[in-house]
Parts: sequence; structure tokens; C-alpha cells
Amino acid sequence: MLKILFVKFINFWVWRNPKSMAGKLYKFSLAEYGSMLDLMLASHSTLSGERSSMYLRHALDEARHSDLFRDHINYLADKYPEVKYQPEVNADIDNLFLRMPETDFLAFAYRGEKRARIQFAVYRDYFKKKKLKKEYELFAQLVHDEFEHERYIWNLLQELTGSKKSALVKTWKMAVWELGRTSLRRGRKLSNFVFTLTTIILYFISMPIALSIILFKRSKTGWHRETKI
Amino acid sequence: MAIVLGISAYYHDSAAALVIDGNIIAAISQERISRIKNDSTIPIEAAKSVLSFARIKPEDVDLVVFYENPFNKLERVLVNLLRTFPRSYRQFPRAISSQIGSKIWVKDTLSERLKIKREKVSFTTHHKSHAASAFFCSPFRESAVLVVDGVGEEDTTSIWYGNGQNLKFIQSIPFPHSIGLLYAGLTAYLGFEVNNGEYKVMGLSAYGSAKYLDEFSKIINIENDESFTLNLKYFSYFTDTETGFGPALEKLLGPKRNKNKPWNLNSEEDKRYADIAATLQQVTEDILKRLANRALKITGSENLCMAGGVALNVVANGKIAMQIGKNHLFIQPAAGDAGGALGSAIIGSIELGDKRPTPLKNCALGLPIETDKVKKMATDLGLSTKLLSDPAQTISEKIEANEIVCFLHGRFEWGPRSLGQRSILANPKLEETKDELNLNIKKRENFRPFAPVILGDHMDKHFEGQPDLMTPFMSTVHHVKKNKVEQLKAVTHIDRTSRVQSVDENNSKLLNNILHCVNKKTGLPIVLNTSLNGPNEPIVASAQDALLFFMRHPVETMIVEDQMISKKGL
Repeated sequence: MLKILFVKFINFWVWRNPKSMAGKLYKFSLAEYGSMLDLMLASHSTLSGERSSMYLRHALDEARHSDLFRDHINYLADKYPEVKYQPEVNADIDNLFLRMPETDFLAFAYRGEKRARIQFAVYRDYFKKKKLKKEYELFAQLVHDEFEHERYIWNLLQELTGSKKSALVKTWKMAVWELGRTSLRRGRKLSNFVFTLTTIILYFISMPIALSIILFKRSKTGWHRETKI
Repeated sequence: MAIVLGISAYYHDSAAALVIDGNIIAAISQERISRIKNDSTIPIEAAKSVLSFARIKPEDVDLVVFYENPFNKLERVLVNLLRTFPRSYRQFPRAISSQIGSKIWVKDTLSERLKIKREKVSFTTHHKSHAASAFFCSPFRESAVLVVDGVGEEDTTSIWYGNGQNLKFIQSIPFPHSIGLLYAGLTAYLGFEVNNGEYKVMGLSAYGSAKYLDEFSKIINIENDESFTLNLKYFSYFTDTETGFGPALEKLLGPKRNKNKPWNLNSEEDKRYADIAATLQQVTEDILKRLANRALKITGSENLCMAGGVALNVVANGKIAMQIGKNHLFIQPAAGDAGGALGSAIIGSIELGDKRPTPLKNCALGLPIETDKVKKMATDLGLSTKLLSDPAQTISEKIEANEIVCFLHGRFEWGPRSLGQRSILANPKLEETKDELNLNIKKRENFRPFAPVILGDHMDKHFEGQPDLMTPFMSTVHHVKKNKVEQLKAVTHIDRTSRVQSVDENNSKLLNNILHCVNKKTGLPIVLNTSLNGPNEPIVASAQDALLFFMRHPVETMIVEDQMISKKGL
């Protein structure tokens, strides 16, 4: 509930101009592409042929979503010179399927789909109000797809854990895991900052060594270390 | 008798290769498994894949050879960062983080993650891995070897001499003077991504003329001994590895091109960039020809093997081959950093007393396609499947009808080219086919050319030249005969060159059959052959990758071995 209120509250800022809109859509495109990679890994790695096909179908949807976001950025770039074209999207893979049991992966995916469906529904309603038809249609389509994903994953999770209660427990466990992951990510950001600061200080302390290298260890040119046959 | 695993990682395209008793068993780029283009992460999945393909347990591996020495590299990186003090202050934390954070621990990482004893992991050197991958896969008993890339530990260009089981270092040019980094810097200037856009620059160069030779003479100086010196004021690769060029280059050549802006080669602005690309290509070719001559002269050999990222410049390779004789030049097909994995595995194998491998005949060194899996998953996705009695016949009928066909067969390729294992095949006659592929399927710049595959014994009827040591691997270009250009519009570049692949029964039986059938139907033993991948994606490897590609792109037919998958009924 709080999340919905927050998303609604910052809507005006997120979609304030075409450039900012493109920036937000690019982040979504990246996220969908990353999900596609994780689902492809799941499709490769699961021991069930049936689930392999399910994950592949889901991966196809995520790839299509990534393309939809990217196409919309390029549509904006056609209209507004300040928006840059985005021909390609590169995302990283989290390798989640290899790092956790399949049921945990499903609980994680379920939470992600649900979160996305709620967030996209806020955007859909916002664009409806603003009478921005293209953007409204984009998010309406996404809300529909996310709902379908949410439904199939929930059914699968119940089937694999044995009951609705066990499935629910899994999602709660994943909520705690996600909290831990978020804290670790924030911790990593902080440690990166400290590391960068320390190495920059180290860099400037190394000035005498740097000067001696500049003065006495000139970069080499031409052929070197010749050996005769 | 040894089992040796070669690994390359951390800079461009990481890979794993397996050599058993001196035979190349498998070689896989990590990107094919992870699905991340030019994946440079430590290739654990690729290593596990080559081992499981050969049914080898990690504990049975005798030696793991990493393709370079990370400590020598660390020394070069540190010295160069301090040499450019204080401009490199932003690069310093990043470089230290990546070098000390992961790269120098590569022995431990490989040992822990592959579950192989640490004492079985060793290093070789970057250029030696490249040189070994080229010479030991070549058909030559003795040869000069030229390695040209961005930079290894310290060397950017090196000459070696290979004889039998031995590979001897002769001389090298050290960092920062580098043809690879010159090309990369200009690639970034022209608005392409470094390490991924160099081949686009090569394609673009055919649309321009070398009008900037005077300007380039200020950027690079070639000495009488064929060494070269870059004027470093034009470059920034010490301080910014992503951009690579400095403001002085923009002052000299004009403003850089905006990244991602659609190309219009009829505009004056983009014509200027094409002229710059053409000048860069000419300068590169000139230097490579000189280096090739030097390598032959100082080794006294009449044969030359080449490797390193710059050896992927097929246009330059064609010109070198013209100079030294087409059957005297061999380019290892995975000439970039991935190839280092193969080279290091061979070095380890020879050190343990095995013979050098037999010459590389084809590149099908990856994992096989699981046809049953494709069929089942295709059915689950609502696609229709059909068992073909004669796949070659069906493909030729579709090509005659100007259809675009996805084709998967056997083990996927080693290296950056699709050579008929994971390919898109089409009729080479129509220019519209090229536009359809560029705009709707590959979604790439409209100036990018497509390559043909031809029956080797028909090659001289359509192209100026015979099959040679490089044509089976698409590592060179040939001119299309003037009277054949009309018939080969989709595969003829604007300068009448074509990156032709020759096929015979020995290097690809099924592709050979397809071309025979196409010849009977159309009178042309030629098919357009491009890689089975979308924009910025690695080439398809598995059943899932194939179906993902097929469902996402406007292609109606996919043939996997003897199964035809189509979108009918969807």
C-alpha cells in the first residue's frame, strides 16, 4: 500500500519530460532483459521438461517486454531530439536459478511479478488520466502479462511446495532474503565508496613513485626483446 | 597422454577449451552459455560444458592453463597508471579493484569453482596463447607467427617462429603503441562500442575514401623497421578505457559521431565518418602488410599464421594473402581473446608430452543441438513440427522460393562466425533479402554486408580466387566477379568484396548437400549465410536459444537437423 502511494506520489517527477521518461523506460527494459536471461537459465537448468517449456515461454514474454520498452524509447527519440536512440540493451544475469532451490526461485519470481504488476498498474492509470494513449496501451499490456505470470508461478509454487501455506511461507522467506540482499547491495555501495576514496588517497600518496616513473621509466617504442632464430 | 583445459577470461570474450592427448575435443565461448554478448567473466559454465561433453570429471584433468600471467599484467597496469599521473586518478580505483579484486586470484578461483587442485593450474602468456592457437592449428610444419591485438600483459604486437612442436618468441612492440587500441579508439570516435563495433567500422570503410591520410600521419608514425609509434596525445586509453580517444583527436578529425544515431550514408556528415573509417582501414592494412613482410623476412619462412583481435580484420587478411600467397596464410578462426583458451590448452598439452593437434578442418567444437528437445518444446509453444526425409532438398526449395530459413545442425561453432551450424540461410540473389535481414531480423546498420557460402569447386566461377586456408572459416574476403555481381546482390559489398565461405564434403557434409541441391534448383551453388542471432546477442547455442530467436523474429521456418519447425497455426 505504501509502495503504491509512493509510486503515485513521484509519478509527476518520473514522467516529467520525454528524456526522463526514456530514462525510466530504459531501466525497465534492462530489468526485463535481465529477467529473460534468468528465465532462460531456469529453462536450461530445470530437471522437468514441462517447466523448461514454461520458463521458455515466460522468457519470451520478458524479451518482448524489453523490446516494447526499447521501441517506445526509439519512438520518443523520433519525436524529441533530446532523447537518444536505444538500439540495443545489455543486461547482466543474476544466476538466481543456480544459487537457490527451484521453489525459492519461483517464490522470488512471484514476488517480482506481483511488484511489477502493481507498479505498472499505477503507471497505466496515470497515463489514462493524462490521455497519453500509447503509454497507456504499453502499460495496460504489461499489467495483463504480469498478472498471467503471477498466476502461473503461484500455481506452480503451490504444486511444488505441496500446499498454499507452504507456498506462502516460501514467499515470506524470500521477502527476508530480498531484504538481506538489499542490505548487502547497500553495504557494497558503501564499501565501494570507501575503497574508491582510499585508493584515490593512495594514488596521490604515490606521487613520488609516479614522478620517478615519469622521469626514469619512459614508455618503450619500437621492437623489443629480440631473439635470433 | 594428458587432459588439458585452457581458459581465457576477464578482458574481452572468455572461453574454455579442452585438449585430450593432443586432440582438440571442444572449445566454447562463455557468451554462448551465459547469453551475454562478449561475456568476459571467468568461464566456469563453459569449462564445465567442455568437460561434461567429453565426460571428463574435474579430478581427471591433468592441467589447467590460464592464457596470461595476471601478475605481469598488474605490473604493466600500475606502471602505466602512475606514468599518466595525475590524469589517471579516476581510472586508478577501477583498475586496482578489478586487478586486485579478482584477476590476480584466478588460480584460486579456477581451483575452487572447478574443483581442481590449485597446483594443477598454471599460467602462460597472452601473446604466446594467441601464437599457439594460430600455429598449432595450422597445416604448416614451420611458419612465422604474427600476433596483433590491443594489449596482452605488455606486448601489443609480437612475432614468433613455429617449427614442429616448438614455438619461439622473436620480438615484440610493447604497450602503449598498439594497432588494436588505435582501431578501438577510432571505433569509439565513430560512435560504435569498443570491442564490439570494430567489424562495423570495417564494413563502413568500404563506403568512404581514404581522405584523411595526412591527419592520420600525425596520429601514427611508421618506422623503417616496420615498428610504429602512436602519438599518445590523441588517445585516452590510460585514463578512460571505454572511450579510448582524447579531445585532441576531435580537434584533428572533427567532432565525434553521436552513439546510436541512425546512419544515413547519403548525408555529408556520415560520408565524412565513412572517409575516416576508410582511412583507418587503409592505414591498418598498410601496417599489417609491413608487419607480415617483416615476420616472413626475419624468420625466413614462407608461411604466416596470424592471431589476436586485429587478425579478425578480414579485409586486411585478404590483402596480406594477396601479398604472400593465399595458401601461405592461416588465421585461427577465434583469433580474438577467446582463441587464447585454445592456444593455452595446446601449450599445456605439448608441455606434458603430447603431439600437436591435427590441422583445424572445421569449427564445430561446441555442444550439439538436442533435436528431440527442440521438437518437444516447439510443440509446447504451439509451433508445428515435421520430420523431413531430405532436409537439404527442403532447404533448397525454400531458398528458391526466396524464404529465409533458420538452420541448426550438429555442434555449434567456435569463434565469431556462423559457418553452417547455427545459421540463417537465404537466397543471395536479391538485394531485398539483405534489407529484410538488416532491418527486420538482425536490426542492424543498413551498410553491413552479408556473407555467402559456396561449393568450393565452384568458387572461381563466381569469385576472383580459389578456396584457400581461410575460406572454410570466413577469415578473408574475395572479390565477386564483375559479371556475377547482379546474381549475388545480397552478398556483395559496395566495394565488390565478399567474405566468402567455401564448403566441401570434408568440412561440412550437410551444408555441402544443401548447396548441391540449391545449385540444381537455382543454377547457383551459393547461399547467403549469416549468424543465427538478434542484435547484440550471442549466436544461438541450445534448443531454448533457437526457439527464443525463432519466436522473436519474423522468420517462418526453422530446420533443426531433420525437423522442420514452423509458425503455422500460431
